[in-house]
Amino acid sequence: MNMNVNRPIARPSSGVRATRRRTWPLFLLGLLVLWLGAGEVAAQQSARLPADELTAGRRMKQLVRPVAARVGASTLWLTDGRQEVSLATIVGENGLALTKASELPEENLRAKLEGRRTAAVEVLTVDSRYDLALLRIDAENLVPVRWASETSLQVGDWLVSAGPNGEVVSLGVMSVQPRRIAAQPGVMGIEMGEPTSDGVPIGRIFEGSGAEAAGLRAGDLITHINDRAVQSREALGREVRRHGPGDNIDVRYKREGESKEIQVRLSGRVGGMNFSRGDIMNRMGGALSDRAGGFPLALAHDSVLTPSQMGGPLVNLDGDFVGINIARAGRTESLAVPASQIAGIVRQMQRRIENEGDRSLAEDDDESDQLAEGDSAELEETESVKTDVEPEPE
Amino acid sequence: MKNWTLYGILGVFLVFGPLVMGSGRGIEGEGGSDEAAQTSRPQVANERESLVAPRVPSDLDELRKIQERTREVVASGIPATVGLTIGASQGSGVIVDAEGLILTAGHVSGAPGRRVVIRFHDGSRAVGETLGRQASVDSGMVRITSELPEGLEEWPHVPIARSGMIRAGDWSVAIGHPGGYQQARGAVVRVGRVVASRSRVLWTDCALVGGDSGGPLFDMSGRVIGIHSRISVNTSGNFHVPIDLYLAHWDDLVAGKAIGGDSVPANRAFLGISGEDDEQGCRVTRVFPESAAERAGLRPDDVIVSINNRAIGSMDDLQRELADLRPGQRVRLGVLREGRRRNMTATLGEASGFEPDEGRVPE
Repeated sequence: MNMNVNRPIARPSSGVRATRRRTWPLFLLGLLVLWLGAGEVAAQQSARLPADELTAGRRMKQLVRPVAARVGASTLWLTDGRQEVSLATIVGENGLALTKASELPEENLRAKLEGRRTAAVEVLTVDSRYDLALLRIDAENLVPVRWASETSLQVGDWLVSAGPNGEVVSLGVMSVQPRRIAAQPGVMGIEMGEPTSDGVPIGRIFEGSGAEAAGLRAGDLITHINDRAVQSREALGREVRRHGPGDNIDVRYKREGESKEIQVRLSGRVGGMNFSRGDIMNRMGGALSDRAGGFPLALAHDSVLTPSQMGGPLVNLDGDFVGINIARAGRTESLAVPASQIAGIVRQMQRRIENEGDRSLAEDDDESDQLAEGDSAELEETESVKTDVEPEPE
Repeated sequence: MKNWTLYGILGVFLVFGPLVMGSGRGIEGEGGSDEAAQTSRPQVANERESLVAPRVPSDLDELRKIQERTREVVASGIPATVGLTIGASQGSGVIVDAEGLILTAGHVSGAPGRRVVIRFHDGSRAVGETLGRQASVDSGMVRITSELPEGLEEWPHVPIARSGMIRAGDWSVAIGHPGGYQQARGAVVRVGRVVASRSRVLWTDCALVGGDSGGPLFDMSGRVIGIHSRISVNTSGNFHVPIDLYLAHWDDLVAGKAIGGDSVPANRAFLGISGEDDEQGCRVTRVFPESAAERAGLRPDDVIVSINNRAIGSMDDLQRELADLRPGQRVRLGVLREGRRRNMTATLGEASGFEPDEGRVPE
């Protein structure tokens, strides 16, 4: 089945809405005919819930607007000058805000204000464990989110993902209590060819991958990863998966007989690299965040969000701030950093800025332990239930 | 722009890992309950309970009531929801009587008599064996064979209720083990509404994924009304086997019979196109070889504007229409080709659980 899953497939477009409006009268007519023909029971049984009555449909969003409005002055959309890339949650005075670090654009980062105005945004530092970036947004009237004195969330409680001014980005319920989320394996973004006694040749390079950025080409023969010889696909895959997204690995390879070495920066997922049945199903319904794992603590909820809707505040039905959305992790799963962690994370970031004068998006040096022992065990378990499909990506 | 492969009631099964389609010692044909196998049935609720109105709440207080109900459904439902490992596949199940009878999906249990490892939310384990299944509707059963643990007088279990009384708009709670059982996480809860209720399938917007197969769909009184089975590309396309289909063959299923042969579920109609929304309907972007669409003469760039005289305005519409149809049914397609309207007739095919090029790296 060609799912074309690497394309965003579930974002509502205005075109869809327009056409649906057009078909409504016909749909109603169909119901009416059934009613007349077979009586009330048949009409009821053939009934379908209209799209605007779905759990996260227009009418439910309308209902929870007052809840989202409680943090309406504490969130802004971030843009790269062309489109919205994420939300920011105001967490302190003078425009101090958090957002998802790995979704930040390389340039032209601005915060959207009322009308068509935008504000300058400075990236102060990054906590790579939580993938959170601390920002300074240069705008007036930003109100920090209020920490509820005590909020006890239970599985099944409604959670609203809020945007600016009462905008409801999505809603759903808490699916799982906060827990540690295992790191995803990193990928180079290559398809592996038939191994030789020397190493594993590159069959193709996926667009947008670390392998492409490093200048690797199809036909290059990979012989070593971090000085370890790799003579099988399994060995190569294993060496790469020891590292998480964002890590650099040393790749030694042969091109036209000549041995070379380069550094490749690993990424999370690369579009087009879908290799397991589970991965494909998880993408049925929309794109996923590139960085979707390796968080020390996150709660899971069933709200449908896109990767560019992260970083905003999550509130319960009382309007209490309960977390910040951090990843779209699967078809059934969005992840949020619990509010209980946020104050500590911000304090740590501020201390680091004071100590080191760290005002750039510098690499974190103390996070090389992203893939702890427990993680690799879990990852191997995941591996073993994958379906066997050729050609095999790394 | 939407661009996806179109199925009827799509069948991507929700089992995690390789699909089990093994052959069983089956009896052919449907119906005919075995008089020798009269087993005790769990109590079945026949009444609708209206603890929660089947509508969008009129205010936040009403939504809070749904939340309170949900918490109770979760409290009773999670201990009875289990992870099942059968061979290399993982799915979910739900215990419905004190002796440890488990309802699951037919494509999870596979053939009768297989060994099952059962894992509970709290990390404890038991073993069991697969009982009967009805492949054509995707129902299956498992029985726990382990002794009850010390201090436990019965297995944690939940009541079941007739699915025939479920209506579009009813609220529901889905529990299962998406991605397979993970002890550090446990069972996962989703809340949603019934989009449509048919005799052969319940459709909700509770998002499911691989591993959820066999898990329970609850009404707001905590009674099982359906078992997770398959999904479509939309997050709002999630399909469950109605409990009434288990009740129709209860004794045979308990007796370990494979009902209706070993085919994959027969209610997954397959047209065989990829398409995208177009101003006038659905524009075909790809026609699958040897599919119903190809045999009917559909070509890329044709725009499907109606099916059985019902207007199609989007891929969503087309999918909704196909959801009610079955393989082998003939449908009339209204098609625009180069601006001219023409009618075609397609005999719908059947989607296999795993289409040939799924899982390959898309070109």
